[in-house]
Amino acid sequence: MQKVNNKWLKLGIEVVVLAALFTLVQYLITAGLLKQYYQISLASMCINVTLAVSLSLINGFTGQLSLGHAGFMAVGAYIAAIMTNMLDLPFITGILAAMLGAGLAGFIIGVPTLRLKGDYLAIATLAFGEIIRVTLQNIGYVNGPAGIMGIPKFATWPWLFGGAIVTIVVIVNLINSSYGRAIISIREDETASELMGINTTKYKVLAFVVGAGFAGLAGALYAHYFYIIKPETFNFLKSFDILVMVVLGGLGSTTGAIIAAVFVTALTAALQSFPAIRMVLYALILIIVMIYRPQGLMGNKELSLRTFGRIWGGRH
Amino acid sequence: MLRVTNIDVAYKDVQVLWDVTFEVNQGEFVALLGANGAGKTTTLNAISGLLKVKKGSIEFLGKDITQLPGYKIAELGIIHVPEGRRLFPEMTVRENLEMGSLFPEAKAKRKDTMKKIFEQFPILEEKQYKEAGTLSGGQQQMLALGRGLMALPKLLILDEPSLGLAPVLVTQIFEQIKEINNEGVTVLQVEQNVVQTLKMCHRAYVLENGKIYTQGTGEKLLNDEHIKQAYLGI
Repeated sequence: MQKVNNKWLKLGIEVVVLAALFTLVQYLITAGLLKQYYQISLASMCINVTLAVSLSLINGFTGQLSLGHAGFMAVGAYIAAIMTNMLDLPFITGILAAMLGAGLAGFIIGVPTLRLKGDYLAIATLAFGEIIRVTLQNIGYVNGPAGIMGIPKFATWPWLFGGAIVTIVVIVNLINSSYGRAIISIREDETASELMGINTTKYKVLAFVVGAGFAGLAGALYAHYFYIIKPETFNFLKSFDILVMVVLGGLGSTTGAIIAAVFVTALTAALQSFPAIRMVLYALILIIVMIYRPQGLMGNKELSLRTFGRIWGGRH
Repeated sequence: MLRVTNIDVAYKDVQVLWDVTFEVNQGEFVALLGANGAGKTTTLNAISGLLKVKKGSIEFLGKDITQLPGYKIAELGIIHVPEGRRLFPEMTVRENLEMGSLFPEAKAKRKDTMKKIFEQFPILEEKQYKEAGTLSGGQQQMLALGRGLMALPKLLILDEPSLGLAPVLVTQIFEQIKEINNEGVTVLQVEQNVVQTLKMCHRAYVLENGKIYTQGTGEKLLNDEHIKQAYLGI
């Protein structure tokens, strides 16, 4: 079969599968067949997929250990909530402003901190996340520690699902472009990529800004689904949760991040009935995965239709 | 072509180079020799912009490049193949080569250059879809050279291409470097393998404790008493 045909066939199958998934859930919700509990899980999955895929661009593909993703999410959530709740602007304006605002925050943080490496960058980004949280706690306009309540519940299933899909499409295309090659080369060997003529600072900041922007989108969706946001929601544990998804899925694998985000969300939901041992089980599962799959579920490979084709056809 | 004038380089408080001056002319094969810690790699890193120069200047094709960042220096045609090869291990051989040709001019000729490199290093063509990390040391060095050549360099800077290679492979790599030079690429090479390098280069500079100790043609240095004692053990 020709390559072009394969490409279109692949795209076709993907669109059909996604459309079917979307329609199925949409039908179940409108028909009232899906319990509230499952609806919340599905919404969390979409938000977490958005977060994990955007962080995987920074941590997995660019190789920059960022621990401040919840901070960017908070920026997005607050901006969007202010836009819709306090200024009565339409949801889409709130989303776009959230993405721009979080991206701008990413730029402001990224330019000075991205010259740091490894642990130092991790600490700097961790500190940034905490600064955001503490700042929000002290701003009277957004009710300080009490947070914003009664945000209109605009984030319906099409928004949530669409947000996750847009994030995936944009980031996958970025990674597969020549920009993506430059970004990955920084992870592989920063010195070598500089010697090959890559402006490493520019690409690191770019990845950081795009990743932060989509974290802002996730924040906006979160605010308008759970209709209440507090600074405490976006503490460093939230950043670690996202990081866990990325590492669990495999650094440098978008499909890995998606699978892990879905898996971790489902696991958290399933363990909710055992609050006492929830974190213990969660931690145990992570330790076991890291012992047996230190490279994460997917390593740096992508799950694609070809993989299925291979399993189906029994070829190696 | 490349003129390094009185440069001092320091890592924080520790000064490594003192007043280093040398030049490389168009088409030449110049070697920079010296013992461990003499400052050879530091000199190369200063030229390619990985390190900042404290004092002095570096000119390339009449342009002052002393303050330029590394990626801009690469764009001007100085391609540095660093010590220890520094490939992109999880990218394939082919992708590594493509990474070498990111500038518009090099990109336009990517196909032809790659064909030429595959002719010179057939093993790379054979392994083009293998990850670079899976290659042997010699193959990795060939790939590092090939990746450098993909940029169509005006000046190719090689930092110890013989590092960690078996003697027979060293000879092979050196012959290939000579061939690259014969085809018109100016080469500046750092080596600890003094005899073989002196036999094939046009001129060489000897660095000792961060200063240029002596210079001359390969032949002249091979007969120098001090060099014989210090590096050849004769």
